[in-house]
Amino acid sequence: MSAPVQSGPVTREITPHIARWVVAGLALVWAVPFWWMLVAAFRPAGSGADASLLPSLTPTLANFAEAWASADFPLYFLNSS
Amino acid sequence: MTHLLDTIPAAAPAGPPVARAAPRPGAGLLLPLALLSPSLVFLALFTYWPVAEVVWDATHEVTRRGTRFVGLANFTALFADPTFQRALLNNALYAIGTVVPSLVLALAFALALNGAGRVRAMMRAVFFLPVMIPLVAAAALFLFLFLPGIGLIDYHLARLGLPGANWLGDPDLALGAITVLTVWKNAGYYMLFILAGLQAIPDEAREAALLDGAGPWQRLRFVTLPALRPTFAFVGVIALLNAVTQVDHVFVLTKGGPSDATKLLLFYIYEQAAERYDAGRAAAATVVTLGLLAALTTLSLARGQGPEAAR
Amino acid sequence: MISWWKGAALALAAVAGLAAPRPAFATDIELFFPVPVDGALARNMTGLIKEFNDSHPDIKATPVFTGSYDDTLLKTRAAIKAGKPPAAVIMSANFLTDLSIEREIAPMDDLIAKDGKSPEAFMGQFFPAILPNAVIDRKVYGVPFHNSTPLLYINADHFKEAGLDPDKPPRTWAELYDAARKLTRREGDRTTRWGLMMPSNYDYGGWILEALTMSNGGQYYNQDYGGEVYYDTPTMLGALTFWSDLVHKAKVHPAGEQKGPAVTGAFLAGQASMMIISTGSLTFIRDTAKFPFKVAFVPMNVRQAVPIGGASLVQPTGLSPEKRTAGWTLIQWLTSPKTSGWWSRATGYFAPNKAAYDLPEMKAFLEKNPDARIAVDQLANAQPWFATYRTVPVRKAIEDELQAVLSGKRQPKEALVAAQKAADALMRPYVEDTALRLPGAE
Repeated sequence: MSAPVQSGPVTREITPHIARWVVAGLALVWAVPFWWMLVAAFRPAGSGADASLLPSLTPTLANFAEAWASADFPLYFLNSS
Repeated sequence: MTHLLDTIPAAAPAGPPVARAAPRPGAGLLLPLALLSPSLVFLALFTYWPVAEVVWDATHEVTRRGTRFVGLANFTALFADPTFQRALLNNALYAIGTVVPSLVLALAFALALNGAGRVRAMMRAVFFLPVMIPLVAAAALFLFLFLPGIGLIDYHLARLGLPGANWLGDPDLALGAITVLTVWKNAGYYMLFILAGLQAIPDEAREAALLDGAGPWQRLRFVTLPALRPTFAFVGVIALLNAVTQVDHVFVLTKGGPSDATKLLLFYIYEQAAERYDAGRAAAATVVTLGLLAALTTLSLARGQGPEAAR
Repeated sequence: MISWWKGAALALAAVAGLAAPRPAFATDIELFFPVPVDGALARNMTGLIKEFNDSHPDIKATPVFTGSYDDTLLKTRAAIKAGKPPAAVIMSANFLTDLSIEREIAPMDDLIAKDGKSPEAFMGQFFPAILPNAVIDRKVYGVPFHNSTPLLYINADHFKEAGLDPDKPPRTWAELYDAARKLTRREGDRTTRWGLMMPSNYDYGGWILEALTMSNGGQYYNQDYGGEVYYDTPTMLGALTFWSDLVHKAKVHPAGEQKGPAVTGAFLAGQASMMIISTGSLTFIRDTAKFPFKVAFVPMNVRQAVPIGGASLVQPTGLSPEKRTAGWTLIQWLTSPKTSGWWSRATGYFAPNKAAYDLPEMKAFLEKNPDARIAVDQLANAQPWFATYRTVPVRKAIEDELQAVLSGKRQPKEALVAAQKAADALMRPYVEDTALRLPGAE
């Protein structure tokens, strides 16, 4: 929307650049819990690496099947709505 | 549009002015009352009735032998309860610990991510992602992050050779852990408001400052922040309300423990009402909490909008 | 943040699911059930109720998952207040005293009599250790569903590694202390493996402390009267000091509050060599552990004694006669030897119905899993579970202090004095209305 604003004298200033890198770093931190959730959701049960952030080499959908089967999802949805 | 706006102030001051203007008082009042009645009924049913009930509960004592009026005794007992004092202190620390960092971070995010570009849009989405999941789900996620020894944080600390901590089980750390979760959850939400506030700053103000040779900090201090003042007043109130009214994560992560370390006001009220069956104490705590909230909200809105209105 | 149409579609699907074919004149009842330990208990319960509904066409039971034991109590009370009590609740066995004092649950003696049995004969099916938490003032308020005791779990590999014999787990506090020291591993100031872990979160902490206190010869509370707890006593001081010493002196147990899942998680990850947790987790541990483990009785100091845990089926007051009868049918089915035994094998809780152990499938199971046999054998040492007026806050009074001691914020003695004072204040209304209500006053 206001892209042209970034041109001009701003580019020569160092402070906004540093700030942008710091915020980019924070974005990574912000994403860690979600990333872990994704990685863990596809990890085979009992692989012993529950806290690892590296994705499993043998991803599985078994966790989803287990979660679906262990809970009456439509009923929970109805109860919480 | 103007016509509609003109009629609103006339309707707001209720009885007397209207009654004096109309030749037949009854007829003049009947229509507005009839039109208002649906809202009034709901207002009475869902706002004033519960308030009356809380006030009644707060001034009565229900024992196994019956109910009696006790005046302010519930309040005296409340303020004498060390657990309530602890809850007040905890909530004050929690409010400061969540509101200030969330707003500072939200401002930093907004300043850095204001404008177009795919990377910026993606990063805005990353910061906004926590807002979209329910607090209960976020808490369940962080339960694993904070697990001592085997959780995400301790596991990676151990790989760096650093000792971990019992984040939720240590009374010195638990409130901090809860605070971190709240900041993570809410900063992106407040960022949204500040982004909107930034859009409203006229480009001329920025250009004028640039022409005057103002550096980035000076522009922030003298152009951006003053213009964002009403936004901050509004977001500050929202953040403050969140710090008092949102305790889902306390239920999931600590249940007020260990040793009252994360007992916030709303959790205290819940415990008094649901676990101890002490409706009087719970109602008194509710009255105190609502009073505090009303006072703080009025104060910050007045401070945020006063100078702006003068300008 | 689901869009409204998606939400509507899901809701519709859910309604359609609920409206699936069922008998025209079935009595609709609800069963509130908690999931207090790790494992697939919710899934097992859903399957169990489906089986019940299939074999009882005139009743349509719906299982409602209500969270922890404490949450289940709250939700049951909320449902009673709202005038919609569930026909049966799997209620933590130590809440029955409080619920009966408040007249929120109904005795079942008349239902038992209708079946032509005496309450004594009916309750005679169950292990006697469980009865004090189910029969109150000689009335049957609950039918035991699943029960547990605390149990010592040990990692056999770690035992061998430390030069200990895994076939001779610690039997006394001295042996436990000693083994924990030998099992603990450190790298600099970082502990990489704890000798022993015990859960100290709300609900679990009070139970484990009760086990230690009873092993130390204590009573913990007045089993016959709901207005007394014995927090500030020598037996309890010994138990709390022992736990505190494991943390602060020997440094073989981590500091601060430990949640149940954190304890089992650490044990399964090999970061704790021993733990004392419920028998209810036995199946989960057996299915998950990738190393040989053994179980044993809770080590003693003065005598062998542990409290029971677990839950009984209760019926709230204010049910319609049809729902009450239908609920009673469900309760009897759930506590029959067959169902009881199946649930025991699925979870690790022992079956309170003695006849369950006479069934061939149960005998075969115990043959294959001798650890389950040890859990049942420990019943010989079992004592009733702490139950008073306002059980939950009275229990939290000691748990808050326990957590403070484990975090190094309080000394055991001052913690017990504070807990006793808080508990006495909580029970005072009941005490004034009972034990201190004397002739001549007023």
